[in-house]
Amino acid sequence: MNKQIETVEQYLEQVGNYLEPLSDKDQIIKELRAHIWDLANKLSEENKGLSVAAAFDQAILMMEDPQTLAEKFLEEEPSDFATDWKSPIKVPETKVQNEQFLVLAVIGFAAVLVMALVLQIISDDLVISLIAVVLGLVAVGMFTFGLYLSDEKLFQEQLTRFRELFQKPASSSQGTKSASSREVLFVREKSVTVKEVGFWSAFGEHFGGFLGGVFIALAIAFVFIMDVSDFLPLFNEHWYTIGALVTYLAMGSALAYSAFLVIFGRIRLTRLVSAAKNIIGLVCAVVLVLYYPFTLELAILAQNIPEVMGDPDLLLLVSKADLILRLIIGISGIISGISALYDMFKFGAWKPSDRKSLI
Amino acid sequence: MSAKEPLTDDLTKWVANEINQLSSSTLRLALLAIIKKYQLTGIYGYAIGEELFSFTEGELDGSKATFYAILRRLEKDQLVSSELQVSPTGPARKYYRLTPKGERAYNALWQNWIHYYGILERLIENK
Repeated sequence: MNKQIETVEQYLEQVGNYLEPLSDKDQIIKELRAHIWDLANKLSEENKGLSVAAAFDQAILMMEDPQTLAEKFLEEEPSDFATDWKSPIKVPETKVQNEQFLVLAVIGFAAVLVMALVLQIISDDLVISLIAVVLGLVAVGMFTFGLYLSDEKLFQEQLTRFRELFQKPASSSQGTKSASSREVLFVREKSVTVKEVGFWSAFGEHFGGFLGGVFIALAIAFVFIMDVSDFLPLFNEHWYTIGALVTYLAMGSALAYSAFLVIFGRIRLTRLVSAAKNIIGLVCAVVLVLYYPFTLELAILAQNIPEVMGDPDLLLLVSKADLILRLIIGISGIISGISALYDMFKFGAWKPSDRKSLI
Repeated sequence: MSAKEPLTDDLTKWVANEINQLSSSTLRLALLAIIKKYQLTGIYGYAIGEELFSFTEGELDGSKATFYAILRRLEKDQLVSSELQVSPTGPARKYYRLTPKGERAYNALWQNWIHYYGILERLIENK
């Protein structure tokens, strides 16, 4: 991608970020792209000495500031939703976003209670159920809060607030000649050159996907070798088949996701693929919690290890360890489910333009 | 307050707001007028911006692309229709035309503008 297109894309990306709630955002961006193309061509024709890159740069400078331009579209939105957006621009989005995170946390907490109940029924052990509730609530709370902090859109808003602190707000005149147009151009130039997605973050995402894929491939190979070999008879018992299958499925879907991420990178469809992966992860975790095949206790009984069999305290500890492992798998499943919902929200299954508020 | 007295901040805001509303209405009518002028062939966004600039001697600047928001609203209100046409020299362009409803709205709006302008003109000249 050459320099001038990168600048145009940055400009359009910024406008697009503000236009997120509009269902026809892509059409608007296409039309604006055509406008910039025409404007740059006109400038290039008028001034033969102007390079193509300079013509695009100049065209961008002549355009309205991304936020002001996006505000015009939001102000012209026919529904009553538009009035909420007029001042300030980000508030309703933030409100809905906050609400989404609240719903994620509530669903997560409810899932933790259900899991604790299941463990209580399976084990008849109140202590384990209490540990499940405490650990689960902490894990879900921290995970949801982490998602909230790292959310791209909220991060964008923080960035915009910062920018507003240090830069003069752009003119809001309705396309008329402005006395402060030079100042507006200056502000615009600065805001256009701010990189929202830098090379290193994009590189990191691809590289992370690649590394993740390699590790998962190694893990699958390892489990497979263990399963088919006589190295550990534990993995050759019939009742481990379901456990092995769901583990393969979860790892396989994670591997497919990593491959997808490496090949396609930052596109919207990645969200949907990520959601599918996380849903598979959730289902697999539920199966493992309900039908937990890799139990250490059963393995010891099968092997008939006298040192353990003869020590009731050690046997009790082993059975507790099994329950704790089951609990950890359950929490991972819940976190997978929250991630899946988050991905669905980000994909656009819950857009502010479709609805105003759930509460 | 005499006319030469400097405007206060509040008054500046009030005047700026009124001018914004006025220029917004002007822009709306100007867009309808330009699209009507090219009713047979249709006209695409950038060309509308150029017409806007040249006919208003730069008073309404189409290069900033804010008028696309109004075009989108006019389309949502079914006053204009659009058709995407592939261009041999660049990206596909959206060509706009007035719908029958848009033509009626344009005529009514323009008649009202003349009417109210006449009222104001008489009022202010006879002051």
